[in-house]
Amino acid sequence: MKFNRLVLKNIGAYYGNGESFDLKTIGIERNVVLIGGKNGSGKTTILDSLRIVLFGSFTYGLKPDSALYLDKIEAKLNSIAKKENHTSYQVILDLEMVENLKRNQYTLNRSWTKNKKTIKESFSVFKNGQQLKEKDVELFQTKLRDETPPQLLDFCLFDGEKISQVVSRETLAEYLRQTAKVMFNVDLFENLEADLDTYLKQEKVFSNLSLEEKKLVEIEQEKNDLLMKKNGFIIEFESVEKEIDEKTSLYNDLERQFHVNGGLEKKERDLLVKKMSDIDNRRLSMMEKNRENLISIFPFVMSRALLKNVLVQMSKEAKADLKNEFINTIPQDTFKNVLGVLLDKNDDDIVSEIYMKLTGLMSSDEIMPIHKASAIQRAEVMSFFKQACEFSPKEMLNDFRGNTQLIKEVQVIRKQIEENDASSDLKELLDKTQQIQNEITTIQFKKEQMIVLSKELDENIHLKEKEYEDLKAKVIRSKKMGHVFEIATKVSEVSRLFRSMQMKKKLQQVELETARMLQIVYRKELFVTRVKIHPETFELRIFDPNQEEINIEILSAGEKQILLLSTVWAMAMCSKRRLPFVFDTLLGRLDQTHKKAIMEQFIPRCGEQVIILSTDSEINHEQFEQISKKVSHLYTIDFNSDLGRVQVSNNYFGMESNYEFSS
Amino acid sequence: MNFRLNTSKATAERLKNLQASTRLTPNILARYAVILSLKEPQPILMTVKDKSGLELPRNVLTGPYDYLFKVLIAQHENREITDEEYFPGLFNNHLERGSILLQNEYNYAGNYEKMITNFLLKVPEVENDDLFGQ
Repeated sequence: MKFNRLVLKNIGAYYGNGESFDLKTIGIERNVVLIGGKNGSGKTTILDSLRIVLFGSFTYGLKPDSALYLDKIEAKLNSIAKKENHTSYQVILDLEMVENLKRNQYTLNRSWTKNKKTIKESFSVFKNGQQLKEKDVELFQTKLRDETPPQLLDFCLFDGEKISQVVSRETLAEYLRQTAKVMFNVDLFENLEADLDTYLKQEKVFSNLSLEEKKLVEIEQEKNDLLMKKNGFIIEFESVEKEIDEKTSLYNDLERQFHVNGGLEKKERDLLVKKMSDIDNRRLSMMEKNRENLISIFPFVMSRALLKNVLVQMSKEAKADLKNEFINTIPQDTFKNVLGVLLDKNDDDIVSEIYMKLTGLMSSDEIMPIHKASAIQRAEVMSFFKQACEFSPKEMLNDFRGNTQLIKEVQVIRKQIEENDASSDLKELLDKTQQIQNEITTIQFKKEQMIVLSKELDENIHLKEKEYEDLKAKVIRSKKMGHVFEIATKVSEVSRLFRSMQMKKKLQQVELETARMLQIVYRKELFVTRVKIHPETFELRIFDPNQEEINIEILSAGEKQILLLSTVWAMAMCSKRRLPFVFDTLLGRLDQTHKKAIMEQFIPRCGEQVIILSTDSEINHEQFEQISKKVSHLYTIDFNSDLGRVQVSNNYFGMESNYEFSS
Repeated sequence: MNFRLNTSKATAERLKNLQASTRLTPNILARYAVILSLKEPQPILMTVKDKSGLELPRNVLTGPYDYLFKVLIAQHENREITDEEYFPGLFNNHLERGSILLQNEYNYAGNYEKMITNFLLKVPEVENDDLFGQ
């Protein structure tokens, strides 16, 4: 298949009667059509239009006329034309196909008419100028899809965006598996196997099978179901693990954030709390010491004056007691008798005066007794009074003042802590962290359950497989060759074998071709001598001259892109299909050396037709010089925002003034 | 001898309130109240008739200071008093008067610490002739 001409009418930014792109190339010598355009000028529209005109709704894997497809088309129609209520929107593609050793020219015209709300699609095909009938159009489309499946074209339409996604999402193996299947036609055999399977299950065939054969088919079905389930399980399991991974990293991130933002404050807060409790403890022990005094001696300190009066009174009473005791013990008569020994009997007055003076020394006051205290009681009161005098209010006063001060300090700290605690951001963060922690726990529980279930499933599969093999051996032994069942089974097995061999063989070629291309394109320092693709897992591995494996992960994005390009190119080469390559903004990531290698080595090897859509930075003046000899047509598309449409000119950003081109 | 004292309802209320704000037990508060009352030179005239308040046992109320309270009250009365007069009669009268004084002191100070500080500030300096009998 080769594209000759593309016309866009009212598609994307292409407004009006249509821009026509001549895509004809001249052999392998001039195999490049270069379309330049800055970002947003409509390059990808060209790529999309090619897909849509060829495959219609199948481009998106949808059924014809499905609402989703028409929605997608609606989005691609030119907005000015829609505003002006144009009814006609078209993509026309001329292409050349070799059929039965004859070149046939086809014109594909896919057009849409738009009423107020609905869009209708119509598709017509001209073969060598003759319009095909509806039935033939149908046939042509089926043939086109068979020969060039939409997936296959996807691989040839290198969308720079998509390629970098394939590489960066590390879905390389899956991409290669899909490509290889289609490229090497082994999907045909896969289909054959599926067809045989369906055939065996057909009512007529099935009823002709013996009981055991029936059972065998059933068991196989069960086994396949189990395997399917197992595959589903593996995918789910992976997604669960991935989820756990994501959640865990999110959790760690949040926790780190919490520590960065809140952690410091937490430390501060702990310090404050500690300081507060320290002060409280100090205060309490201080007050405890004073409390003992306050509940015992202090009230009496307050009444010290009264207590002193008590003592004065008591002392007086004691003296009075002493006097009375004296008078009682030594009455005046006895005193007189004692003194009478020394004095004359007539000196009564003197004796009486001495007696009075003596007793007066003991107590002079006339006293009303109040307390009548004993000596012990007096001593007790005296001792209390002493304590009350020794009590130092100053010390306690200082303690109390200190206490008040400390309470104030504690209040300040407490306020700080409360303010900190009220900060809502941190609280939210904490809540979120906890929520994610919970989620992780839930998922982990699910994972563990899945592991248990998966083990059970494995056992079941193992049992079924054994049962199947046993029964199959039995059935095959008991039946002779030629039986439909056995033939089908054998064919199926042969097909499977062929498929795997074909795949291996082709992959070996691909490995060689890829390595060759890599050696040419990669800069010297990354010298790849061998490429290996595992025929079952499609894992791609590369080796250096010492046969040491190079880890693909360490390659840069640009290098990965080249690796993929080379691999897909090698597949295309090995499949021997005649396909156009379309590169959409492919070179954006590559450095000058790699760009040069792609221009000079890769593109010339890409067959008869290469359509390059590029920006002026991808292919600049220097690279343009490199590629210009290969170019058969040049275009620059430019979105003119004043006119609201794309303008096409026959040059490449005006760089080609020194060169001449055939058109 | 009577070993129990029943306060009036009003005094019981005052003691409970003060207990809540000072965290001192009613017996300690009562001691302060009585001392405050004793510091007032006016003689006690009233007799408490309302006995629906707290019931306080004598050993709890006066504790090791029973004799001290008795001599202080007697000194305040400036006469000899019998034990029956002292407790609960005079003691209760002083408690009644003193609890009002204590309540006032607390209300004036605003909090416990301030009240004690005020009490401490009112304590006179120890003078030489105070050191009686030394």
